[in-house]
Amino acid sequence: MLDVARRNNVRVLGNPHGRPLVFAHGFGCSQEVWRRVAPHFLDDYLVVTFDHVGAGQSDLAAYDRSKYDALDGYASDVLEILAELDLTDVVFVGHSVSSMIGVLAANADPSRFGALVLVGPSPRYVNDGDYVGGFERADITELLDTLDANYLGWSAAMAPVIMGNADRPELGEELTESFCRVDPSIARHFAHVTFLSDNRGDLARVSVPTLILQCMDDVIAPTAVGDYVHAQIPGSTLVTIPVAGHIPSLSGPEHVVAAMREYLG
Amino acid sequence: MTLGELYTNAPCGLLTSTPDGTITEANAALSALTGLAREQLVGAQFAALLEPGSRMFYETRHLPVLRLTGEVREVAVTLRRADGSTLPVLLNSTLGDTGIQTAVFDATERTDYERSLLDARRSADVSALRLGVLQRASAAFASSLTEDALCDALAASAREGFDATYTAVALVDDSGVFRVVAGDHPPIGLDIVDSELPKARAIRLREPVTIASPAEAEAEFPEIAGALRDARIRSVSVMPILDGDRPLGVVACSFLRERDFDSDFLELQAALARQAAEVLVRIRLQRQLEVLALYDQLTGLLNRELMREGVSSAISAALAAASPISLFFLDLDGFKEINDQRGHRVGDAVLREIAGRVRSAVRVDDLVGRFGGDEFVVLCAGVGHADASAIGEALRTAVRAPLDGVPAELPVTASIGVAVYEPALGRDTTADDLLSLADDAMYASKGAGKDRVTLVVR
Repeated sequence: MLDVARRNNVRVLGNPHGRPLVFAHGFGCSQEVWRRVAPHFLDDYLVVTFDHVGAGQSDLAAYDRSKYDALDGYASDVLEILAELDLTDVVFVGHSVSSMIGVLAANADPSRFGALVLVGPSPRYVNDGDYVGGFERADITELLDTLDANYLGWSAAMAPVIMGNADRPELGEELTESFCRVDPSIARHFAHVTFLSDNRGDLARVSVPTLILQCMDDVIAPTAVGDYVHAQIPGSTLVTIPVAGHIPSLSGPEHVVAAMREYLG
Repeated sequence: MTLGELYTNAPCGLLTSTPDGTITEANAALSALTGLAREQLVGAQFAALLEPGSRMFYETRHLPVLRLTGEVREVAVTLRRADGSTLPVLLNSTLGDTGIQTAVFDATERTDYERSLLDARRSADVSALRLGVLQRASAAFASSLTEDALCDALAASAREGFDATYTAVALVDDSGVFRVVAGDHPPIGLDIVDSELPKARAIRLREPVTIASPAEAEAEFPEIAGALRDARIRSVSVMPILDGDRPLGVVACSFLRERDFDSDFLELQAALARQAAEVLVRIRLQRQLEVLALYDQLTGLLNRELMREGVSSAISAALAAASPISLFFLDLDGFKEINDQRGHRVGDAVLREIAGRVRSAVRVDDLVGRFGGDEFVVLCAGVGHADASAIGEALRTAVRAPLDGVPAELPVTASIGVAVYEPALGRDTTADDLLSLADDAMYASKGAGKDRVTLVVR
């Protein structure tokens, strides 16, 4: 039997009788990215977090390059997790690329989903005609260069270490390691799949209530892209939160929590 | 020296930013590195100083790690300077009470050196990957004994080589009909050579046919654009499998996202198709040789070896079913005269004609063989001595009918010996035993004046 829980390092916490709240992380992260948001929902929600295959403490042996050559592969994993836990009326919270993974999963089987919360979504990162995704194709090539530069070890020599008192790391040593651990070839492939996918055509088919959380000054998912997603998903709600950057779950978790609570009631 | 002076005069760029990344302090070295005055730096987003690709990495990787672990060391990114030039740098950051402290080091020299190492390594990785795919494919192809096994191996190799969501191998027969032999390819099913679908076009053009995007599918292949869309396929590459200029089939790869079908991609796909074509040709040749070895080349009937095996299995089956079999041995009368007077070409034509008549005189499931020269053998399962006489007569009549192109003064008839095996009589027999019995009966017919049937029961 498929061991979905182990494959995706699925963790289930919170109120067993509560509405299911499933958090999915984006490119470059693991489920730890939700550690300042998820605890706020433990009292009244059944909280599920997991790592995509290839990230965090997932089972790297399950990384099938053909399957994960498209976001559909990740979406089918999400559906398997929901089926394994037998969840319905799920609130799926997807950050970054997981927004589109959630859209694909909800389109494939809407019966499991009660709502989508898309944090910093972008259906296509590369500009295309009138569509402004924020990046050119050459930028994606440069990102891949940067990944190689950082993961293939050519930067791992000694620059002087900066002085200063770091905040106490929030994570235990093991989690820090798993968060930082990267398989270069998987990171490269996931970057290809994330930043070169085009899911614009999937937005109009979304049939579950959807909240879009847009950050201010997010270069990865600029305001224009958030507006596009909002316009394409029928009946969606767009909320701009006063947090800069692309990872509001870490830099402004209280705003994420408040916006979600406001929407979910 | 005060702390402030240390900061200002540090040998590397230093900056302080809010947790959101807004720069609150920067030193002179950072101004020198970026070409921006301190006043331009303060208030700006640090991420905005980076090239877009670096900024993607910074936002999606550097910042989350910094937030979760408090520190990030030696991250390689590229700065965009005020004059538009770029500068490779290394970043060290710590997250503290006063915000994010970041040190920026010029990495130009190291980068130039390491960049060439990286390029070499990447190019070596790509070559090694392709070589690995081709080597594994080569081994898998070589151990394939059948067309189906070969096509399975080709589909698997293409899947491995390109991370394709769907791969399929289709072979084309003489009438131009495709048969999907291996893999899975939902939207482009069976189609024929003269259509304008990608597989057919690849066969016709003898070149790869690619669909790079849904828009291209709409424009170039409107008949299948909808099916591709329904299957969520966004790009397709179809490579013909060619034996020289002769198309054998195609190997198709489909993807749920748009892929670059660049020369690396197409060369690897072509190399897989080429390797598979060589093995496919060999497998087909081998099969032809096997057929040649078992069948009589002149008449297409079973040869002596295959016929003997057939008689053997028929005896076992007859014993098991307690059902009789009849073995007919035919030796032509008058054939030698035709051969001598009219030549081998006419002789061969007569043998082919007689072979066809004998074949038609018995049931489809009956075995008919040529034992060499002008001897034919027929085996009929489930036929006892009563029916055997009638069949023997039918064979005799079929052979003696006039032959086109052969004058009446050169008649051809058959001396026929029949051995009937009745398991109910309780005797054992073998193929050789039964054949020799029928042979003896044939000689009896010959001795009694030819053109007749002699029957013995074992």
